[in-house]
Amino acid sequence: MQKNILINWTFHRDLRTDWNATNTIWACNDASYQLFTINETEVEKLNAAIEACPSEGELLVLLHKNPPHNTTLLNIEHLYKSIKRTGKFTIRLFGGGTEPLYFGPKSEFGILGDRDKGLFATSYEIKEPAYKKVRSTFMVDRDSRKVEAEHLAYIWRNYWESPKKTVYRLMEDFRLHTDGFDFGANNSGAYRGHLQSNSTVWHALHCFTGQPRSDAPAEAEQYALTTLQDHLEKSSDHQDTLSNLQQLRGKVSDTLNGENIVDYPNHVRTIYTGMFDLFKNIPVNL
Amino acid sequence: MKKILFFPGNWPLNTSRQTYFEQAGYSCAPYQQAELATADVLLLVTPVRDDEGNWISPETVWKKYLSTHFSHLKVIQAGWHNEVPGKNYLNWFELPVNFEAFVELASTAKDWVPYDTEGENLGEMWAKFLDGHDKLGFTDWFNVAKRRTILSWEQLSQNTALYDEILADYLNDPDTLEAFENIQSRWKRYKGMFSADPRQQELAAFETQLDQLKAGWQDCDNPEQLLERLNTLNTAFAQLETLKKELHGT
Repeated sequence: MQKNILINWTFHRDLRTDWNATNTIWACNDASYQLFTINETEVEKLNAAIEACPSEGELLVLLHKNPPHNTTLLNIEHLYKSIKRTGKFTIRLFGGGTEPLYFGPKSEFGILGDRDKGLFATSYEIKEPAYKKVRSTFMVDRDSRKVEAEHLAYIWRNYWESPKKTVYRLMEDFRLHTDGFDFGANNSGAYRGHLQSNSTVWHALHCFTGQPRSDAPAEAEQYALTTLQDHLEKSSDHQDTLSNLQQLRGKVSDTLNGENIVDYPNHVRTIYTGMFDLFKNIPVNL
Repeated sequence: MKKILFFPGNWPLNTSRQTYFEQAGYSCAPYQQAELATADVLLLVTPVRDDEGNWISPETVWKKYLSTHFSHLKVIQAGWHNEVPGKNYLNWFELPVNFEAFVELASTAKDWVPYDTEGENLGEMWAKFLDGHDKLGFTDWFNVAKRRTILSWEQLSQNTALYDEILADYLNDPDTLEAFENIQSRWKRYKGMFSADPRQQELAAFETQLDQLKAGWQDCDNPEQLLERLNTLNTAFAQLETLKKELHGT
C-alpha cells in the first residue's frame, strides 16, 4: 500500500513540492513512501494541495498548528469532509518543536529542523549533561531530492494512528490476553507467560512502560505514546491525565516483571480501568 | 438447562465462569445464528477484535437485529467496566450472587439499551462501506456496474447494438472495469470488520453472490455466451440488492 505524507510547515521555498514539476517530489529508497512538503496559510490552497496528492494509497496529512498556519485549522472538520479520496486518510496536528516529527535527542528519525529557516534538520547538539552531536540521516541528497524511507516510516508509525486509538487498542488487547483464562488468583507466572506468548502485546506493553525490549519491532514504537506525553507535558489542563499515564506505566511494568502484586486479577483490572480513564481523557483531535 | 449463547464464540470461558453459569442452571455455547431461536440468553463480550487487530463495537447493529427478530431474548453484555451501565451489564469481577435473578431483571432485546464500548462502530462501518466518502462507496460502484450490465443485456437481447460494440462501448470501458474491481476491493477491505455482525448467514450469502460478480466476459467467444454471462450477473445484482437492503436498510 502506497503511503503518502503531506506536511504543511514553514518549508523554505526551495524545499516545497511544486505540483507542476515532478522533480520537486521527494524520492525515497523505499518506493512505498512519498513525501510532499508545502507551506500554505490559506484553507483553499491547503485543500488544493491535499487534492493534488496521489489518489492511490493512504494519505497522512500533518498540519502545523501554530502561526502562521493556525489560520488553516479553523475549518478542520470541513476539511475532513471535503477531501475526496477513495483511500484512507488522516489529518494530524503538530507543533512546538519537541514531538517525533522534529529531529532531536529523543527522535533521531524526526525530520524537521529550524522553523524560522524552514529546513530539514541536519544536526543537533546536546551540551548538557554531556556534549553530543547527532547528525540527521534523513537527507541523502538535496539536489536530487533523495531521502531515507526509514525516517518516513518512523513518522508514519507515530502519527497515522491517534494516541486515543492506540491506548484503546492496548487496553483491549491487554484484556484479550488476561481475561477468561484458568490462571488462578495469584499465579503471576501464568499471566506473564500468556502475555509473553503474544509477542505483539508483550512488546507493546514494554514500549508503553518506556522500556522497549531490544528485539522490539518498529511497529511497537507507537505504544511509547511520545506525542501524547509531549502534549500532556505542555498542557496545564491535563496534569491529572499525565499523572495517570505515569502511574499506569509503573503498574504495567510491575505486571511485566511480576513484582509488587498480591492479587493479580485485581491488578490487571486496575490497569484496565486506568487505561480506560486515560482513553476517555485524551483529547479527540490530538 | 437453559441456554446461553456467547459472542464472540472464541472468547475464553474459564472453569470458574462455566461453573458459575452451570450452578445457576445455564449451559454455555458459542454463538451460532441458527441457535438464536432456542437460546434463553445472549452474552455479548464486546468490543470484538477482527483479524487485522481492529476493535469493533457492534452493539447497535445487534440491537437492531435482535429487537426485530428475537425481541424476547435476554441480552447481557459482559466486561470489565466498573461503572454500572444498566441492568444488562455483567461485570466479570463482580458477578451477581444469583445469576438467575439477574437475568430475570435484565431487559429483553426490545428494551435493551446497548452500552457503547467505543471501538469502531459497526453501524458506521456499514455506512462507510456502502456510501464511502463523497459517493465513492460500494453502492456507487455497484450501481455503475449494474447499469452497464443491464444496458448491455438490453442491447444484446434486443439486437439494438452489435456484440463488438457492446464490449467496446460498455463492458470493456475502463469505468465499467473499475467499478467491478472496486466492488470487490471494498468488500475485501471491510469484510473482516463484519465478523462482529450477528447476521453471519446473510453475510455468507452476500459473499457467495459477490463471487459471481466478476467481469468474466473476456472469456466469452460469442453473443450467446455473453448473454448467458450477463444473465448470471443480473441475477447476482438482484440478489445482492435484496441482501444489501436486509443488511443495511438501503
